[in-house]
Amino acid sequence: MSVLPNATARAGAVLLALLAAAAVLGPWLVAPSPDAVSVEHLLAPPSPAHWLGTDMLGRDVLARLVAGGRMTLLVGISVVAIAFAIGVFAGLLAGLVGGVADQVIMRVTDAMLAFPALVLAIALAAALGPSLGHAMLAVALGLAPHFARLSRAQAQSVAASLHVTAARAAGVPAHWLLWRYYLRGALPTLLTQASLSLGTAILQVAALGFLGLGAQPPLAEWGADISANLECLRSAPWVAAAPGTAIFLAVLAFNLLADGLTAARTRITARA
Amino acid sequence: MIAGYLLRRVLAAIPVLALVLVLVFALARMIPGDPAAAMLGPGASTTQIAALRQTMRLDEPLTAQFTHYVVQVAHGDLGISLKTGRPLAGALAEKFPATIELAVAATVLALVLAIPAAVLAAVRPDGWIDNALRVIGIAGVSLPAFLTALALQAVFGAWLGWLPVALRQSPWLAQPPITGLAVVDAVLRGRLDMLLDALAHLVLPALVLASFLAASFSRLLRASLIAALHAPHVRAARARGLPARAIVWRHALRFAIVPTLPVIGIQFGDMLGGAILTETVFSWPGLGRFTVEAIHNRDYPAIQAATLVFAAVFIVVSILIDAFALWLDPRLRGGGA
Repeated sequence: MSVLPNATARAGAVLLALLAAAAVLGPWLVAPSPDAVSVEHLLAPPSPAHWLGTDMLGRDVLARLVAGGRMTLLVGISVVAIAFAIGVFAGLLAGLVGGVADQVIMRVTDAMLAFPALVLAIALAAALGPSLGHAMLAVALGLAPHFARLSRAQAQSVAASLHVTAARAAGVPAHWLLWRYYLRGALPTLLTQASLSLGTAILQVAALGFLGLGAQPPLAEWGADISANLECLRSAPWVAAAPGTAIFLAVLAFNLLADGLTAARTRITARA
Repeated sequence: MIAGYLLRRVLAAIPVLALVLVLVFALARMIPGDPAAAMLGPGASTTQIAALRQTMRLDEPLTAQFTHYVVQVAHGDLGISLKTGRPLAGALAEKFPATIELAVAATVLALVLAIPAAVLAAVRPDGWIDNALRVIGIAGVSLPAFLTALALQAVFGAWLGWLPVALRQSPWLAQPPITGLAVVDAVLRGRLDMLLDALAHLVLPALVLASFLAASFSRLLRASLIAALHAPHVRAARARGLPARAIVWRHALRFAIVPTLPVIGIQFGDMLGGAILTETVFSWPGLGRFTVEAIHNRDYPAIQAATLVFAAVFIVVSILIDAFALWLDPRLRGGGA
């Protein structure tokens, strides 16, 4: 193996850091407000005043891009955190308690995985009603089964191991067992899954926004900003191209990171 | 042997399908407030709401509602559209072939792109081709489907004017469907102009869906192929002095594909999700566009029915893929028998 796996992870981390910096520092660097409407500058092409031009309502595209970036990163991280919490809790419960709880949790997991991921998210978001919060919940619920499966498998393999039996016999308290043996062992796998899920979460929230099931106008969100400006795609392509490229770069950053982490992990296991 | 396995596999899918029904049933009950009032929108009268409550049996206990729903679905009745008042089973059956045609075309296209890419990468792992393909692959799975769709539409449709960017066929060539698959219908009628027209409409949306599938599948197949190239039977073939080309294509590839098949199944599901976005952008009259229209019309029975069909297709495809894996690799048949 060459150094590329780590180079991939590094490239992902650098890209992510740049995006995060732009999202955090952007509002201080970009003068116009993302919501400031200007009737004189509808669909203005990129210029020194508006680096990425303006949209159909005369709003500065760069300002919306930066505001959308904060939103996207926050939303992605929250979605994965929710999915992680629900999935790991259910998975550990299934793996540790076993019996009926295990059966019920795993069958529900199977059923949820029987839906194409985006279809499940769309159906849930449609039932709950169009809003960013509901879209986030829908995507998180769709991602949770993956975390449940991983943590259940980990819990089962750890529970069967001798040192856990020994620790249990020695009277180690349950919460300490949980943290020290179950969760920490599963963490590398779960974090790789989380990095991969972040990419998926951003893609799906953007897709829901694009379909009108996510963020509602005038909130700056990349997916919704693309669909809001579809009519002027031909005359002013920069309005949709900017958030489109941004979605791609953000997802790319997390996927590079996940790929690098996976490669590094398989190398460690191959050596051991 | 395969029949026995398939039977077990189908039986195992029944509890999953039952839970899928529970989830789809629950969808309409998750609507905040009175589902009937929400479905009919703010303009509805109290009598209209009461009538819908009665049709949905909302005043009965949940278990009775669910039993009724299952019996209905078992009879092939997927409910009535709130928008058109037509049975949904018929409406979905009309849309179904369009999505299948798109998905099959995308899968074929993805395999055509991914298999040679995986072979090129696996023959020299970590060579420059492998590294270049790795980056292309990661980039490929990072592209939002609706963005690829819009970009292809802009470049090949609006800018170059080479390909049509909407619908499945040119209106002046429209004929009543035979199979509903435009390409197959054109062949059955022996019309070359219809065939070319259908393919021209198909290529861009299929390419959008294929790009994602090809990107992820080629990475998987590469890893599996590298392992297969070190398998004993491949080393034996090499020792016998078989040409490298024959070793890779005939001996290694067949076994390298098997472990990737379950993942193809999962990715087929992702592709169905992507089809919703692609169909929306290309006005492709399939299940995906139907779903999005249903969402805009707040036609909940239609959303439920479409969701159920998507899940059913996904379950059937994963069973078929398992059967295909069994056919490719006889060693798998021993397992649970």
